[in-house]
Amino acid sequence: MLEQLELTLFVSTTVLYLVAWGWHLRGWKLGSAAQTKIAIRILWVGWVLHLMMVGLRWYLAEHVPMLSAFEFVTFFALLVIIVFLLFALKERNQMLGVFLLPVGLMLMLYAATRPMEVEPELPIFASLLLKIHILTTLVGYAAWTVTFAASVSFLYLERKRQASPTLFDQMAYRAAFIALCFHTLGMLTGALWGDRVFGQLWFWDPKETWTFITWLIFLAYLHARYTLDWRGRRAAILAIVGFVSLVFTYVGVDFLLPQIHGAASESMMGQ
Amino acid sequence: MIIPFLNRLFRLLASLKVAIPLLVILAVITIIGSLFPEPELFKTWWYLSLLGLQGLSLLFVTILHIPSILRRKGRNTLIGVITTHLGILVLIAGIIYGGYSGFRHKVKLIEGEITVVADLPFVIQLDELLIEEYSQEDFPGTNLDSLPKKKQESRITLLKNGKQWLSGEASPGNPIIVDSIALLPAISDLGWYFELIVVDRQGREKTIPVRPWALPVISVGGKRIMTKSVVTRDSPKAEFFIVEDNKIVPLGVLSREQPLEIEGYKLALGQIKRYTGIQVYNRPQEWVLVLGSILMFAGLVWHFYFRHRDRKREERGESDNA
Repeated sequence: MLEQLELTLFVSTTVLYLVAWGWHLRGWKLGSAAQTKIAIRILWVGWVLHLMMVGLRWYLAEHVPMLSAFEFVTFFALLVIIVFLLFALKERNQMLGVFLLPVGLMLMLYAATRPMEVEPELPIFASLLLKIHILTTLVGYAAWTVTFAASVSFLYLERKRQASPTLFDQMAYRAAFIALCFHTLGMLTGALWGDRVFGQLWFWDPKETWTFITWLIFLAYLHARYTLDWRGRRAAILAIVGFVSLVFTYVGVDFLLPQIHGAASESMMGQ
Repeated sequence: MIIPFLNRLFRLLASLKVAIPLLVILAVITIIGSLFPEPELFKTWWYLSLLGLQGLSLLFVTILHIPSILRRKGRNTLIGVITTHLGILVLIAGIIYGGYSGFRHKVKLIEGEITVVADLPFVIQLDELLIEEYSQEDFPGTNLDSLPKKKQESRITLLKNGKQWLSGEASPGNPIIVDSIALLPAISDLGWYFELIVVDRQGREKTIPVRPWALPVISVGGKRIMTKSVVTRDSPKAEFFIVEDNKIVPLGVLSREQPLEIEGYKLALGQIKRYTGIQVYNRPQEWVLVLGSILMFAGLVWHFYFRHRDRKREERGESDNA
């Protein structure tokens, strides 16, 4: 019964996100603030349903709903959408949504391909450190997504020679800073958790290695801006490269390097 | 002679023309390394050296840019920048140092027995092993063997000079840590240790200890057979087999209820005990890593807070002037 309700909430949320994005695109094309406002309202309704779904999941699973792939991705989408909604409360230029909302939507669609069953929490996952690791990683991911969407917005506006692309350039930079803080914290807490469970801080398994590579790219991004005064186009392209690396870290590694990751996991399990 | 050389080296490593290609090379090598199942590359001296060189370059770039950061972005930004980079350097130093110090042993503890491990000022006694398995109802459609146990608790006593010194419980995720030495049970590294009682055709009895992590080859009636324990829920069994033409040929299964005879030799199970694999290690660089992490994160937060605050002030100042 409750599982059915969860599924209904998930489907409703995804549909509302899709409708909101369509509406948002329409409002943006027509340059109509009224249309965009409607899109934001639809998005708020979708987000509240999403929040209810995550709350219900928490209740059903009896553990923080961030452990399975389905839970992780839906929580990620929840953060991406709320970041945009909070941004929309403050900024009048809502172009960010054109590129940010599809990321949230894609995450929901990706979650739909993952097994949805609630599973018990394994004893090794019952650790506060692990929860902090996942949460900080997710906040970092969400902030990188903003950097990505802002960078794409910048490139689009620059190509169209429209006003205020620097707003997005600055936004990308600020979001990248927050992202780096949380990404770093995520890596450190993950290493400490790994140490507690597997007796080793770092394994260099593909997931960890690609997290490190992505971290290096974003480090290069911030340093290029900071010391080389990279602005606009070049910085935006580097940010997009970093985001592609981030997506590969989460999704690509699992699909393209399955045996390698499997072997790494096995070596963790036994001796 | 040396001073000008060091000066040139400093200028070279402090140049972004070197630092950024170095970062790119590090990233490319790391990407290539991630494609191999065994990440041995990351433990090689040259990879660690490259990491060290990157750290040195980072330090020099920061030092060289101190005056311009101070002039352009103020004292608070400088503090943030220095703290963050110092944190990264401490982390790199900790990783390199950790690669060459400390010890790590992987041992098996048998229930009720004492194990002596090199480098330790105490011996380890595994008093009891508490294991609880998941049922298929918990994880429908999942191979339970691929999951950690529901409960895997080792009750351990440490002995010094033959006397009880400390007692505690350890499980994966909750090691016993004493004097910077950790005792961490390995996930699902569990099995049965057993004694095999062999009675030959003349009625002579021989007891052979069978440690699953070091499989014995036993001569039985001219055949060289091997045996291993089978971990089934609370029902220990031993499998016997021979290897012929690189193929495993099963000879039978022995349990308490089911004795086995091979070539006229009677086989029976003697004493049976559970064992668990554990890691025993110390990591002298741990506090270095924690310090590096704190410095790096504090520096980032400091930098972000003050950059944001200063920018807001600048914006307010500009609007006031306008």
